[in-house]
Amino acid sequence: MTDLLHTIPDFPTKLYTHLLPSLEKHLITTTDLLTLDALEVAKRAHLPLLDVRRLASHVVAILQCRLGLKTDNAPSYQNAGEGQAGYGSLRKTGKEATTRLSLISTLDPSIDEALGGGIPTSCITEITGESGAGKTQLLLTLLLSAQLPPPDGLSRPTLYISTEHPLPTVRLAQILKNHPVLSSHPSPPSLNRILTLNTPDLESQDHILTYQLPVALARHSVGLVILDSIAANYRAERSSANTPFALATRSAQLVRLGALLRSLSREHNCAVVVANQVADRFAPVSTTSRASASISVGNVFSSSPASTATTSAPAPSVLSLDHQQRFFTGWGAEPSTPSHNLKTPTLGLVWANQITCRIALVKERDYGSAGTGEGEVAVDDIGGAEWNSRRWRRWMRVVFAPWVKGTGERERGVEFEIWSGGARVVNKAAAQSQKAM
Amino acid sequence: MASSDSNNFSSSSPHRLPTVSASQALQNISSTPRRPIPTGLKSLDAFLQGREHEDSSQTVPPVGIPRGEVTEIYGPPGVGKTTLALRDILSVGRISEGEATSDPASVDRYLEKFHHFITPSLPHLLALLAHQSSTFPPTETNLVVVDSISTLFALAFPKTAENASSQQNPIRKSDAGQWASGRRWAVMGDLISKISRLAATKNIAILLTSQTTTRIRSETGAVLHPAISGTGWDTGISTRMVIFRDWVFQASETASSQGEYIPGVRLAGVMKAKGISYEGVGKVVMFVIEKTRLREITVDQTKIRLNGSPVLPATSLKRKRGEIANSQSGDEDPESDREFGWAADDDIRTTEALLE
Repeated sequence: MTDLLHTIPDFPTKLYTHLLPSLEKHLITTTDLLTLDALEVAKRAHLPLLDVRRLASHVVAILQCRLGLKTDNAPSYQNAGEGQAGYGSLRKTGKEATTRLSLISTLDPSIDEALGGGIPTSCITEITGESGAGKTQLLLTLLLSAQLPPPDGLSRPTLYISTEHPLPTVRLAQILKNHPVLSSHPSPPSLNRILTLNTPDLESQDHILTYQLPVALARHSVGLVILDSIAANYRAERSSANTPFALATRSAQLVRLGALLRSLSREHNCAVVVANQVADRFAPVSTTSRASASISVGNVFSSSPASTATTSAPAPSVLSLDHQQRFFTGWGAEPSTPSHNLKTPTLGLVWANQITCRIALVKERDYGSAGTGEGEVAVDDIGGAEWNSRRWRRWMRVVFAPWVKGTGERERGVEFEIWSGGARVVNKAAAQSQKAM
Repeated sequence: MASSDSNNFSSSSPHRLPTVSASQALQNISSTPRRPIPTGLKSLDAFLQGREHEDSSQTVPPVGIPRGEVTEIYGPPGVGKTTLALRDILSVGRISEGEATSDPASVDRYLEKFHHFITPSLPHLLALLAHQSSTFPPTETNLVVVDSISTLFALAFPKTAENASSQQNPIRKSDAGQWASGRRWAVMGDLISKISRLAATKNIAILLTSQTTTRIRSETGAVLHPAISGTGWDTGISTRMVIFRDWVFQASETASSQGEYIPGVRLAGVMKAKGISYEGVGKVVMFVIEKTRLREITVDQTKIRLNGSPVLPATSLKRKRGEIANSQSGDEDPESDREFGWAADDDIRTTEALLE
């Protein structure tokens, strides 16, 4: 029954102190309580039937109240229907469900446009890319812009959880000073309103996220939580243990982490943005020899002799992870992509299943304009010597997102550069031509 | 309260199918509008009803996602499961493409018929779907969408971790531990039977979306697999489709060249329709997601060439490749050949739409 308080945090356990230890000992979960007959639970845990039945119906009553199914609270369970502050009703009308999307701007119109307006609250957004691709730069801008009043931001403080390096405050101040929107704003964002946390290892990360983060969110009414980066602690831990046990544990941890972040973002209506690292992907040895048409289409399934001739390849191979992950990792979606330079965001499919939106930042060494056809790189307006982006070109693309169309695999995405004021789109003309596509 | 404690799973259920005579049933088919819910893709609608292809004649009954049954969609992240589900919700409201933007009043009227439930955990979902409630489903509900159901199972049963920890924690070895580890399958079976009963008694189309996990097959390597599966679950699902991506080319005149690549194509494979399973990924429909609609790509094999997935290296390389992937990227988990990464979704939510 350890999960009872996770499911219903304010459950009046005092009424059932005589039941819970035994249920605990017999590993009976809340789910079991709701699916099994009370008789079976009672037999298993050696408890009186009527008490178990009362507990089960109490749990159901509270859950159904939370879900907005019962309007009249049963008098016998006084606190059943009173949602705590922060636990909004789990039921929404269609109108509420469609109007709640508020966005945090990246302060660049073209990047915002590709994102469908910005980073939305109430869900997990992942920004992934190689080191130096501009993840942190984009995140820093968000830390500031979220403090702006709508439509640019949320007028709320922000929280930065770092696992790798502390918050680069000097850089933050520089962005604040140099970005035209931020510096000229009547109510400029302040570094005072950026909270930071440092989680050096997985254990403290777990503890901080589970117990301290919810408190901090509620107390400061934080509008944006940034976790930079999600993978660092997991990768550090994993180097030692690569056994099935370790992998299984990690998978369960990721599922739990995803659920935790999701519920926090929903309860506090804040945006959760995580940075993720990438690793090289090992492409299959021969990508040239493919099974041609291993599946056939629809109504020609049996009629076309050509299709029956090619069914020798195992049919589900089109669903192989190696092939499908080209489309959700952000690298390799186009058939002509060279197979050598592919990246895969870390933490795998388990984590990809947890996130709402994935944004990939791609950087490539600039070999002149060869092969790009997008004209020259604008290098003349680079802010400072330390932000010299002359040798690298960067693109941002939306891999998947429920509220905006992903960047097509034909397009490279929005090209941006790092300057003293954060991240901005490089070339207006290039941005225009991509819009036309 | 007394009423709600008598409806645990195994107890005698208040849902009972009313008796209908065969002649009455026949009449019902022709008279009452048991209209399936169109997905916006005509061929897909036909396949979902077990038809071979779209039939343009007017006499055939309408097609789409069947009422009174459970339909499952699964696929990798970002492939369009939620989009397809939302599209179905729209077609329940009979809002045709473009109409939604033109008349704000009709949008409001439509939204009144739409209810959104958030179920952060499996007990929440059970309380919603499996326990009788006078207010759920609201009267005249036509479609219930659960997006995504696998998330909740992943959270409620961190299966592999628990099994693996049995070596360390002595209590797991006990009778109670063994019982608890088998609960996942039992709950799965119970839930699906409750859901399908809900669909049947209220004549609701229930649409579940599910994430994917990987399974290792010796000949093909890691293959995506629905995150929830099992004999009990599969029998409760009468229609199942997979959505996936592939490279689709507009075939050119010369056989040697690749032809023009069509970006963004999704393939929906109906693997099971009306209780009948098909081989492989089943009957496939190709479509692209556009701003306001799903557009089907007409299937004409002389014009379109599919590019099957890359052939994986020989079996001998398998293990090696898996180890590399593990040590480097934390990619997938080849060691566990059961569902290891069975996991979750962007957003756990239960949506439920109802109509006129």
